[in-house]
Amino acid sequence: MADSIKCPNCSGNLIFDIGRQKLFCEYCLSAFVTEELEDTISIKEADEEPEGILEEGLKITCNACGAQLVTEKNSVVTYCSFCGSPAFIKERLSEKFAPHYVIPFQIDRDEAVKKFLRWCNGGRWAPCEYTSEKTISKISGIYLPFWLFDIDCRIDISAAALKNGRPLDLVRKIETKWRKLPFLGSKSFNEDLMKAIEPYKLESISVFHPGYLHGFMAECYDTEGEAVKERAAARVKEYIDEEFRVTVSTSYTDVKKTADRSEWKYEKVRYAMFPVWLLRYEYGGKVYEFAINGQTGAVSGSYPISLPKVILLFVTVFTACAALARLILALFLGGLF
Amino acid sequence: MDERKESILQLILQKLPWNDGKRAFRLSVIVLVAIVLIWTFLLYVSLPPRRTVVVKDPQFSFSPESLPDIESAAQRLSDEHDIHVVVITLPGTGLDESENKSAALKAYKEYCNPGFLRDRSGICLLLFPHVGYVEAAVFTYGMARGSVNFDLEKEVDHLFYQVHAPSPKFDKASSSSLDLINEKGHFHIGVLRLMIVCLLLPLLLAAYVCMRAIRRKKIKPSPESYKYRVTRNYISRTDTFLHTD
Repeated sequence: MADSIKCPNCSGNLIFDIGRQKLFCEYCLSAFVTEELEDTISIKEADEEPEGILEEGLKITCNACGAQLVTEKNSVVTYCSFCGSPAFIKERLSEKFAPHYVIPFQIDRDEAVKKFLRWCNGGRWAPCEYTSEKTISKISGIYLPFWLFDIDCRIDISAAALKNGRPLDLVRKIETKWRKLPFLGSKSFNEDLMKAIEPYKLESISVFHPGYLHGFMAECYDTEGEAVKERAAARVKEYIDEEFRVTVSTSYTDVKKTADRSEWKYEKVRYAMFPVWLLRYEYGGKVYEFAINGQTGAVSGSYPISLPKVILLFVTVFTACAALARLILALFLGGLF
Repeated sequence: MDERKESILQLILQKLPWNDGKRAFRLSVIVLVAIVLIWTFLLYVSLPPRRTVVVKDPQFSFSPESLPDIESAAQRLSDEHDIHVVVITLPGTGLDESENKSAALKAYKEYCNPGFLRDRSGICLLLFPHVGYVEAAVFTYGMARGSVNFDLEKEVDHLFYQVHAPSPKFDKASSSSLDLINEKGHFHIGVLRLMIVCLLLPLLLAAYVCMRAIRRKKIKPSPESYKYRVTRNYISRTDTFLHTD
């Protein structure tokens, strides 16, 4: 059975209202903070995860209209295609899938559309369809699964360098701590794109409540925290290099690392849901993705280039320049008088 | 960006014709038609016009016998360098440079007018026959501009120097001047320059503009380390200079 949070006053569907940062009933105009609805839904009471829950095509029943729905793989929240009610799948938010934290959406849909249009310059060189209402309507707010790593690191690097032309050996030992370093826990999304819209303001992270997801799509992780550690290690290595570089300022030249004895340990790994506005667009057999950080509004992505538009631009510029050149030539070399 | 600017920008972005397939198509058709028309016109003005050779003697300074020689010399000059040639005798002293210039332009426009922007490359030889001497002036136009240099002008002047008009010597000097220009005139490589200026440069510029326009935004790398760092303590930071002899 799929769940949705109903208004305690009128039993209408509640939607998380970004402007109010509350769950809002569009029918009786009531607004509730998520904590007020603790009793309405509890993910702790969820049933055991049914067998094959992460396989494609999980069948669920809408608790509003009783319709049978088939969800996408890893979907946590979906919409009933018959009555339009938001519905989340408790099993995918419970037990091992229960997130610790959530960052609620701060950027609303209108703002996201504005940012999208500004980012792609109104779709100047993209195919016409890219900025059409049809495509814009596909920009969807989605909570993506992230693993947050707390890492304690002891940097210990020896290097040879030149300082003011004199050779020297240098040693750097630094203790540093990184907290809530996020790593995408889903294989279905572009990790580089998600990194590009970081960082999130982690000081405003909230304890997870399913109410925040209401009105948006959400995915649960398909990559365990342990499996993400390899990626985390790669990023930690980058950060160690970065920390080391900071200590060898411009007066040092020809810096060559001779030994790196740095060590780190993962203090905590926690599961969180982060908000993203996402657009996927297929053009010429390639998928172009665009993402907005749902909290800070940072944008990133790639957009398709329309070949006919570029050809038209080329021919137009060429023609205009050729005509202008001919006119100038005529002014200098006769022809106009 | 403030709220007002933001909403204006939003409005502009939404009204852009390329946001709407039908409007984009209409705009493309208009642009393409304009492009075709411009290129047709450019092609038309680039077609070589029929060259005009004019020898006019309103001052009756040339003898009827010498006129064919002058005309054939003018024709040779025209044929060999693909230019218009105008030889004309005018009243006046020919001593005022600006007057000569406007007289030459007037005569040249009157006889050699292939049309707007079309090739008017040519030479005009102005002759001012007086009792006692002849003043000659050479003017160049179009691709032939500057093809007669100062030394050549002096040589032409010399041919007419102290020639009494009308006389067979004056006639001879006219045809010889045209032959001299034919031999020594430094005519520009017109077609090549035209190709470079009118085709190659615009082609490169158009390629550059397209490259700039379609330049893709780079996806940013991971945020810097300090964004997630809560503490950093330097345990040891030592620099040991090595002894060098």
